[in-house]
Amino acid sequence: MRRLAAALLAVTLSGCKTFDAAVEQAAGKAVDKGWITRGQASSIKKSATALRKGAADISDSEEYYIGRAVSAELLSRYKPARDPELNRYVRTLGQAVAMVSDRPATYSGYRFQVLDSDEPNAFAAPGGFILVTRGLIRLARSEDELAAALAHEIAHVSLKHGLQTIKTARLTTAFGILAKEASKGTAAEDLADLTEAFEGAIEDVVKHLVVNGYSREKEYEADSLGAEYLRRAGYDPAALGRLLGRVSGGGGLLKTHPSSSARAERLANATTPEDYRPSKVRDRRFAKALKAG
Amino acid sequence: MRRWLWLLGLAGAAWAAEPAVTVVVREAALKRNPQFYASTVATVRLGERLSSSGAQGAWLQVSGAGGSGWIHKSAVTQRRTRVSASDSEVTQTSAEEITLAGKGFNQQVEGSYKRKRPGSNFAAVNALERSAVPEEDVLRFVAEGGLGGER
Repeated sequence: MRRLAAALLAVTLSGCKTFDAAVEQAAGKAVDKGWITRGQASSIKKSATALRKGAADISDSEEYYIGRAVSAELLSRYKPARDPELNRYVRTLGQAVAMVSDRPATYSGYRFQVLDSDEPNAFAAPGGFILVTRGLIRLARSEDELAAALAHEIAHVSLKHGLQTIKTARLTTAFGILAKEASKGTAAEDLADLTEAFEGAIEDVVKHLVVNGYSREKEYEADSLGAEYLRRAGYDPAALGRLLGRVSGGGGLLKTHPSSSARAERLANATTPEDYRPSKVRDRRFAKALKAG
Repeated sequence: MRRWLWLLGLAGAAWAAEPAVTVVVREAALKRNPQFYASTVATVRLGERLSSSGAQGAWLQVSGAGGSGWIHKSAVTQRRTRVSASDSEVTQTSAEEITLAGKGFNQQVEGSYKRKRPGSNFAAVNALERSAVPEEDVLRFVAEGGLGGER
């Protein structure tokens, strides 16, 4: 059995696109090597499907509770900024961009909060809780550029990047409990197991948001999808590239592999569309909101 | 008698066989047009079933008890799944069913988690959740800023 597990791991790491494909390949290899019979291979596939759970299988309601707990953790480390005008502006702007995303409605909707920190940073918790520091807001030179930073974070939510950082082990526990023919309510033991799995899931997400950052691929994805959202909303898709190009160092949104300049280069073909309309209204309200900030 | 009831049920199901979708978010907007910044004509809630009569891009044309309009595909599920009870078969619970049943990582789990992590700032999260901007304000912001338009 251990050899099968090792084979399975090797196959998964070799880049199978789906868990099912990985299990099928591993089981097939094990049959070829004579470790297990075809009958055993078939029952492994069945139970693996029952155990299988990736980000795609996390329900919208679960995503919401994960997002709440991740945000609660972040908000215990970063103080919310007490600035009603700035918050109102960021929230309205954020909603305007979220409305044109590929997931305009998450379980409980997007929410935006300014954090009282000078370090340029932004966090997108699952479910649409987006936190952005004063430090990051100050880097933007226009409403378009601030919209760009928010669009990038909204793209992370839309693509469920946060959920994808959750280790499968946390989810198989949860799924195993769900797969039981449960009645109303959850037995005490199951609740304890679920809570432990939940704790682990929150830890995984927070660690990626605060420490590791996302992979290069995820950042590029959020950049190009973010630029698309800007275009849909009527903002300048080139604004994100401009924001990134101006930055050197910095954290969070900006503290990533690859570097901001590499990301800005990649966005070079997100150019200003011909029908783009600048706006004095946007310039004025941006200046007004940031004066207080 | 039972057989007739069964046939009647089947006929009833067939009659109501228009493609149906279920809302999987707490609240979703039915829009006047299949556009991101179109105005909302009705709001639908978690678990509501809507009948679908067409699609355009990421939008579905639907109608329900509260009215008709266009809803974004991400807010609904078209899946009809059942949880199998037999031992020999795989029990498959869909993510949508979990949402609709309020299972998995839910409020109860959050309560239990809070007791283990008293340092977490859920008060700030609750305040954040109450900070929603009314849609009409967002649409006014869009219009005044010269944003939106046909894209």
